[in-house]
Amino acid sequence: MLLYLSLLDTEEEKSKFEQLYYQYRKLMYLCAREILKDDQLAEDAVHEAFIKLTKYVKKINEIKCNKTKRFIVIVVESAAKDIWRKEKRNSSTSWEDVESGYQFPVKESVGELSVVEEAICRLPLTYRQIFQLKYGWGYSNKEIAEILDIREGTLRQRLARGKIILQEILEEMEVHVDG
Amino acid sequence: MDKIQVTDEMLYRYMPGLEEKLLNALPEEEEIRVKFTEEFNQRMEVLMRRAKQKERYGIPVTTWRRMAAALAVIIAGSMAATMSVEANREKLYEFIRKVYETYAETHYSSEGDKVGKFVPLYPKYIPEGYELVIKEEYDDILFLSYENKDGVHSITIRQDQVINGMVVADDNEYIKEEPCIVRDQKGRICYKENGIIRVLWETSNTLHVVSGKDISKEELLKVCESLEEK
Repeated sequence: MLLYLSLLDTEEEKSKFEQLYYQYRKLMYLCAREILKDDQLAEDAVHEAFIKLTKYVKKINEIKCNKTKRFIVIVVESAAKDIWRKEKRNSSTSWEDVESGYQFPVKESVGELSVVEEAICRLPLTYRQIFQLKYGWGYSNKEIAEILDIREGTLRQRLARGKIILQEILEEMEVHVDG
Repeated sequence: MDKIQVTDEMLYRYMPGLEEKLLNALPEEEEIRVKFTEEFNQRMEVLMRRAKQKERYGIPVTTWRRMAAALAVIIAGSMAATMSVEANREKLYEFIRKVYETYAETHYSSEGDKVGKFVPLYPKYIPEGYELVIKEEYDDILFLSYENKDGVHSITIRQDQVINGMVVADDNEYIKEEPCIVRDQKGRICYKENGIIRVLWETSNTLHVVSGKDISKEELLKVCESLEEK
């Protein structure tokens, strides 16, 4: 592979974008591969995700931290979702089936979860991503709408719908609190 | 016993802890065994180069490049009276090229910001059965990727405008290298273990790399020789 290192030479000066690339490209590939079940489309998703990341690179302060990791994973999941809709919409599987079945990382590697955490993990990807950004990392509705490329109105609807689905999952799991 | 109610307060309480668990369970980059394709690596290099310039200058790269190109045209116009176009380019875009063999790096420098106009070249010849799958064209880079029907064999053509301060690092993973002449320029043909052949050469302000997987050297050189301005 040839590397074009134009203009920036030292480690300190190494582009943030480049650091993100080497820190997360394989993880991003795995996420995309899990959704698309196709090697080439997964590479396309990683490429698309990095194009999107050029817009956000200035806002990322720390490369190696969980907040950045979550952000990067969500960007590549969204890119994979867009590609799936373009390339696979005629397949026998629906997007709803794909996102409900998508669990990454696999449950076994996560360790013990409380029942509520377990229920949140069962949420379809569309709602889980919003919950992760808003309640996990404190992003504002405006920021989330921009990251996911949706309108704020749509986001509010999904937030409300996500809560209803989670409520239903909890009821299905017969989770109660002592009252 | 009451039903648990899903509220903002409840989600703010559970989500941060769950996030830590989920993200810590993701594999580390060095634990993941993935071999990206040559085409992917090349596309990402193109993107990285552009992102770096954007980061560095804070203005859209295309604008900056257009300004540089326009400036070069003005300079060329004032000097060109009796020179041919080719001679003019050579005169304007003389890059000093230092090769650091230990690091397999080539450093380019020139006086001021004379970079010259980037003139992309397109192949007139592509072997039968291949079709264009990716075309990325910027003011300073051209990237074309062709694939045959089974999607296994590919040819990529990449041209990068050489700019002042540019450093090109070659990974040196070749199993064999041989000199060649491409379009009247000295070049080299490099062979990799995975069946990739790469032809590299430079013109006055452009670095050319044409790669092919599972294709003969002769066919690849034919592609190189067929490159022409639009």
